[in-house]
Amino acid sequence: MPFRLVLVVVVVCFLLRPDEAAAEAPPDADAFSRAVAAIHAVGPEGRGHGEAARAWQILAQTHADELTRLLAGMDGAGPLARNWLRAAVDSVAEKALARGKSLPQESLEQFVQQRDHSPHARRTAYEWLLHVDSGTGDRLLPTMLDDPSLELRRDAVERLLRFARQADDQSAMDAYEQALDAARDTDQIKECVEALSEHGVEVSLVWQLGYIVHWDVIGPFDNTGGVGFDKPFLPEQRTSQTAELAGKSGTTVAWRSIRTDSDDATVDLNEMIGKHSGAVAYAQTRFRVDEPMDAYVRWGTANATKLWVNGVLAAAHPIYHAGMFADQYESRVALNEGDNAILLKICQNEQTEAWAQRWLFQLRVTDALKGAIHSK
Amino acid sequence: MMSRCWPVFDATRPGRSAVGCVVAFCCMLVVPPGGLRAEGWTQFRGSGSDGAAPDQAVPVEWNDQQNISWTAELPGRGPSSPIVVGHRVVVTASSGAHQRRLHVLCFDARTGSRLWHRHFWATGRTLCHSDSAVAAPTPASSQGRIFAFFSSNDLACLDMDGNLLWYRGVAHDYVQAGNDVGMASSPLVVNDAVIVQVENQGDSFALGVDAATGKNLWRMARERRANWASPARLFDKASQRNLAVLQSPDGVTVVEPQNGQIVWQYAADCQSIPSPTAGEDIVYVPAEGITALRTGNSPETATPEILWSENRLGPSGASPVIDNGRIYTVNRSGVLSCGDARTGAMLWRLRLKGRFWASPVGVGKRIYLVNTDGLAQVVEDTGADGKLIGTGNFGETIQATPAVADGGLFVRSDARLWKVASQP
Repeated sequence: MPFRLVLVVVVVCFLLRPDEAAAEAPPDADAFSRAVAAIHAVGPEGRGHGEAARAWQILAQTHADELTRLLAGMDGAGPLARNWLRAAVDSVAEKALARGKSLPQESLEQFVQQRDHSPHARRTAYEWLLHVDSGTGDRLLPTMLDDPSLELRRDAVERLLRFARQADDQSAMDAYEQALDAARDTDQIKECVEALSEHGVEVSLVWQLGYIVHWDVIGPFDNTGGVGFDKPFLPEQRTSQTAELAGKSGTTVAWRSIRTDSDDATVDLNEMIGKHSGAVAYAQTRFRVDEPMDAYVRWGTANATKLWVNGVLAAAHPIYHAGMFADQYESRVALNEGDNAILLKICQNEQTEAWAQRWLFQLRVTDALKGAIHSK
Repeated sequence: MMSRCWPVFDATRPGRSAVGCVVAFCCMLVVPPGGLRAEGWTQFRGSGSDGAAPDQAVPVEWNDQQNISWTAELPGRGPSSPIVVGHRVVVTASSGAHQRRLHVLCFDARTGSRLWHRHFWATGRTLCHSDSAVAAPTPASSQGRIFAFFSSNDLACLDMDGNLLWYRGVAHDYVQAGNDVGMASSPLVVNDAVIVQVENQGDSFALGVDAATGKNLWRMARERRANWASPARLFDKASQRNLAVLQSPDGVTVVEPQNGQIVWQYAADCQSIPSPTAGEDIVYVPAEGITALRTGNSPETATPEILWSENRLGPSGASPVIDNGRIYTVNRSGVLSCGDARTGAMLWRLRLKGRFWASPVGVGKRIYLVNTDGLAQVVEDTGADGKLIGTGNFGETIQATPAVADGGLFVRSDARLWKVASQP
């Protein structure tokens, strides 16, 4: 009986199999464009999923020879849509290789080198090239030290660092200096700074990363029960350097200029203001640029923070003691020509654990690709 | 050919449902009953969320020379467990300088060959404690779909062939959702709802998502406090329905999976890392050690009955196992405790080597525990005591709870996936 049944099943499966040609028919230009548009339209809370799911099935039929067309669909895609499209690219490439077909290496390589395409699409193309040709990195990465894709740039820097680690003194120094200029990730920048220091070249890590070391600080204000996070104390309303203000528990507080000498430009408010529980501090600085620009303020802290730039609230993070990391928070801001006022509110809560006593921050201003911007 | 035989009934794949129905029906005729259990180990701590796999024959000793069926390389880190669906093993991983690259991989459970690999870029926060990784939540599977969830609150739904069915960036939708210590709560799939607990100091909520469409079914505000416990399924015998148990530091909330309606609540100081374990009518909660709660006899009963509490059964980060009427927990000192699941009576304790993040799994009367150094210890429950009967050393840091299915024990580190089995 089992044999007969198996035979029946095999026959039924064969008869009902989707038509190979129909199932794999690549989408025509119109269908392709509509499918990409449907995926670009996915929105929050699952909006557009039905259309996008159907579109994904269409795009997944793209012929491997046209991978770059699919990759170009990632241009202008938001974070959600780019993930839908990445999955389609991977599916097409994976199936082609599984069937013994090749990928269009020449067009993929051209695509990687065209910097006007989405960084994510170019990275995807690079990874598939690398998958089929291990020499891709040596061929392409030397030109990517200034790449707008931070993933590609990181690999380019890593390739240079691998060389530097094994090179003789002068070649190593040259390579580390070149890598330092190119690197945007803190771990790579640190490696360059430390290696150059060992070769007698002193580079300030703080300066290289663009951390701000000069601040005016004031506090403590009251944050008992967490009420201070949303309470607009006077520093949020005016920035007078001289005024004495009413602080926590009837104290009088005033702005004080400080400079942090910490290795990573951390401002320790327990040192600068004093150890307080349930307290708010403010730190402000003037940041001068020669021309108007978009920039990113990036900061790390173990405390709840609010950020204002030129009096405009840019970010609010009511998070206490969930670790502290470099560039933990970021906010895109518009800087004016000349002086810009950066004001950070740093709130300490009333947790009693030893690890919850930290009251601190570090902050820098960068471009979109994490390159340091220094105040003039 | 495999893809065409997979019985997926999916509205997102119009025109194939008839073929799928016929093929699925035929498969049901020829696959032996044991094969249909091939559903396997479909979520964190197994398909029953109790850490138990009673009908699997897994070796008690293994090394490089024996009882390792295969190993496979992984592209990134992950305390997330493998899951096993049929003859397929699904694993998640995260990689890159900032762990922004998310991976979902599928392997053939019999050979270890990689069937497909999908990449995504995190849309939410990826910072986390160095001991954890963005691929901390264990994926889940139901009805031919895989739900891969990450600490960044990205939630991808794929079919068993790696076709994307939908993709949610939960922190993209609710931008303050996240915890820079790392999140780890795994999704629960019950009654066609994918339930995730996104509990932290920012946007804190539990979310029910339609498994077929990825759209919200419901969203419930939760205490703004970090929580890593995973939801569990509770079967309510009186009403013959599945419920979802949400455990938070301030207590337990039991909800209807499809609409998030609260069935009952219980206030308690619960631990925030080990998860609740539930079966028929009873929920075992890591509070005051372990507290066993029995749901009321009718759906209208708002207050559960406290069956027992036993402080000595208190777990550390690893979640309890309920198997053969017994409860097993491992504490901070590496002591495995066994209690009577009905009464809470302590039965025996056994000190093991090392610290444990991975939850134990029960296979028949044997408990498998893998410590963070990668040493697996197999304990047999003799009835009166626990006896160490075997070990296997993976030689790498292991935080993920093993999966037990397809005749093997599936264990993953940050670099590798192993199948431990006496048969290839």
